[in-house]
Amino acid sequence: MAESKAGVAGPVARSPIRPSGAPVLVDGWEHDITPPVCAGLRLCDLSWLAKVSLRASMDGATAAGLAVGRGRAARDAATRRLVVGSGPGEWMVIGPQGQGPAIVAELDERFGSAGELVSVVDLTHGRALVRLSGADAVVGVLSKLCALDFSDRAAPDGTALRSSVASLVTDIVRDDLPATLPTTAPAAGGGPGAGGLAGERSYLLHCERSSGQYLFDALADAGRDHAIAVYGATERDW
Amino acid sequence: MMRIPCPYCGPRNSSEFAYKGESRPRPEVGSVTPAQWRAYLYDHANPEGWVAEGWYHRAGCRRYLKVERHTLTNEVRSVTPAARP
Repeated sequence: MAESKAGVAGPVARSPIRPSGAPVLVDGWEHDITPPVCAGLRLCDLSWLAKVSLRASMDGATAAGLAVGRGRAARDAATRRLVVGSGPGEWMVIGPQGQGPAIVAELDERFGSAGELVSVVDLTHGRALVRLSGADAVVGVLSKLCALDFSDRAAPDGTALRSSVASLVTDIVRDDLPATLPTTAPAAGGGPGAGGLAGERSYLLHCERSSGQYLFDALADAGRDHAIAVYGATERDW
Repeated sequence: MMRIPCPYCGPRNSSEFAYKGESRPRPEVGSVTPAQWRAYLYDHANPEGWVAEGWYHRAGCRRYLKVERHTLTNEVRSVTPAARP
């Protein structure tokens, strides 16, 4: 159990996923600060990101206003928010830490008066969110736990799916990391690692908070063949 | 293994779904007799051939679906969203 820092005011929010080292408090959330890994297969906890669920009719004014179809995810460059069309009439807005109430207020204002029944709920503390990245090894790991086709043809960047991962109902969003300059760090799994012109293959996975540790452990276990690395999330991961 | 082509999610393993039983009309609650209600709950036609069933996509779109399935071959010939109540 992590010790809370002396002199901290207000409640401390913790991810359902145990940090691998002593966590550090950042704006009320405990963050894992395990040194980041930039290449190879890797896994990090992003549960502190704001997560807001929006439900409305699947073909109403709200759906048209969001302009993100079912099974797709789109990132707003200005706000860095990711709008995920997670199901028929169901969206999830994922944003930077601490923006939950602001996103709720904004969605309420935008769609609350559209004349249809819209429900906006801040699920930040109710869901676990992890990012699994790395070159082709990621597909191998996911394929051990999930029956879906994760090839580029079937699930390109910006695909949103909900399926059973390690027998757990999990939302999977392909959200490739932006391309970076080639890194000098060796790729842990012997794969090509980060760098190059194309973005790096990466997935966001989220599930109910109570199953977060299980999902994290299942992914870490499935990635052991590829020498998966667990690290504290960095700016690049979000 | 049986696959169900979900109209929202595409073909998925049947383990993602919950079986809701044969589709048949629900008796009027106000005027139903106990015997009729019992028959509605527990008596099934269980035919050898095509049957209309309700399935719930538990691990996907979370929608109720009406599936026409052949009970011998598990072939699925139509899947449509269940009518909203």
